[in-house]
Amino acid sequence: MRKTILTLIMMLALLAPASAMAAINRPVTVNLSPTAINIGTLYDGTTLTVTGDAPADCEVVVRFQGPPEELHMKEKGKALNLLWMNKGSVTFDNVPKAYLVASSKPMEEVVGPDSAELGLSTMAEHIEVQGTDDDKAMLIGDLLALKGQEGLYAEQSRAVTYGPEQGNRRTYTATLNLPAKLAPGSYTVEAVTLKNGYETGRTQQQTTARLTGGPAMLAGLAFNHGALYGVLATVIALLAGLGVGLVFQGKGGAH
Amino acid sequence: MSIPMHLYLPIAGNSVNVLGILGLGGVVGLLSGIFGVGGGFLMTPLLIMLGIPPTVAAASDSNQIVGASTSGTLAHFKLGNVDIKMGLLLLVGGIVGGTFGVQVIKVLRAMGNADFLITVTYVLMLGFVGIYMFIESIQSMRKDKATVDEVPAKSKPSRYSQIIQALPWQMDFKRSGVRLSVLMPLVLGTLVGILAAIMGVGGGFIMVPVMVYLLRMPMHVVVGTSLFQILFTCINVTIMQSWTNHTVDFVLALLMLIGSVVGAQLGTKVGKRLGGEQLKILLASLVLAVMTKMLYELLVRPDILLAYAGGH
Repeated sequence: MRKTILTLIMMLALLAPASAMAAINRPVTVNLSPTAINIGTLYDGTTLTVTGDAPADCEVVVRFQGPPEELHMKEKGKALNLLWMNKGSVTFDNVPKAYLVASSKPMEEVVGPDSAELGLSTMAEHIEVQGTDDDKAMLIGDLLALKGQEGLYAEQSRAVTYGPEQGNRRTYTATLNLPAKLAPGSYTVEAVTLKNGYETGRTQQQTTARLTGGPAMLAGLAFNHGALYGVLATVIALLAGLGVGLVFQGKGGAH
Repeated sequence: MSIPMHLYLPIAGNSVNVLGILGLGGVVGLLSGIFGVGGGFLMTPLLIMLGIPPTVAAASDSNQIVGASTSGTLAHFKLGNVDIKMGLLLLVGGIVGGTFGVQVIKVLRAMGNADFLITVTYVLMLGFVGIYMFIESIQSMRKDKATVDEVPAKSKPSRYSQIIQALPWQMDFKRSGVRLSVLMPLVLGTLVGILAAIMGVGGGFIMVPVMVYLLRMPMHVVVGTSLFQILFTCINVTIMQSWTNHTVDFVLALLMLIGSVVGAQLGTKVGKRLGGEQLKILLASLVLAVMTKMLYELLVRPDILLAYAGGH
């Protein structure tokens, strides 16, 4: 009997810290709002809110990433040492369609061996450049700048906020600004927890951006029935031109 | 505000400000109605600045020009400013030249450095045409204010007019009030078609001076006839681009169209109030402004040395 009680006490003693550990180690959760990105007639970019809870002593970094693709671009150079114009073409490989990173403070401050891996600069190291002998670092820098202008690549610091601590856990909310330029397709949202710059856990979820309503109809017609689409576009333009011409003629009177 | 300010364009893959595009269309339509140029030279780069991919910008602009030039042609037709016979001959030449020009550019590209050659030729030609028109109009405005509306008649036949009168198959073009060989519009149309295809522009900028100086048509008939011809060129481009490259964004084109048809109607009325020489000076200034902008872009280092493939 005594043995049994002793064993129970020992087991409880062992279990107590273990359950506390479990609360800390339970991986970060990820909830998306909205769950899918609908690109309708009035779509002008949107805000994706990522919420969940994570160990209280960890920083949460949220990453929104599109699949890698190959990109063909034109490169400008100086002809005859005088005029800037398109000189050659460059092919980039392994370029993510989108790359948005949200953190509670600037990435340099969360920095550590693992958090650095999440930043734009490390992602850029995986981009390959083909078809040119020019300075690759400069070309990749330009590519990042171009994608940055389009809002497709960004490090959004102060985009993660935390709720109050509750039993070693706290909630987090990340707000990601998705640009109008976001292409339809599937994207990965990841929440990574970091302690002193080292990764302690990671949870990921898929989301899809798709055309709906008017844009979906138009794109379907344009890509599947190109010739019909072209004729329709021409006829409508012709009729609009004629219609407006007649309206103005009526108003202006005979000349 | 309850009125949506932005619309999403599925082919362009971006959203645009509705009022911005309407305004842009209005300005370009105005120029098109006044001068008989398509306006692609102005519209395409502005659309690219608003985040539209270059190929989509150029193709959708052609779709828009179909509507604008219909409206403009109709207005000019009612004023008796369209020389259909001349327009059709130029058009036939233009189609032949355009087809040939596409082949020429393939050969040039294969030889390398074609882009350099094309851009420099284009800038030089715009500069030459602009300056020539400008000086010529000022001189003729000073010389005889009485015949402002007429193309300056030379007192004695120049070698050029002797040559064109010696050509076979002479024909009367009543609307334009000229008698020319059928070969003239056909050959010149072909040349402009080749140039337009090589430079990736509609050709209005080259066609208008050709009609004024080489075919010696009166300025008002030039504008109407140029619009008539542009209409057919752009119908062809819109259908071909939709069919083969899927780059025509109809929503974008329609927005620009609403602005530009209104602008084109106003432009036609403005053009009617201006004299032929005034029109020429304004067009010359516009040509020179475009040239200056191109030259500036060529000389100043761009911020970003990369561009999406597919522009001119």
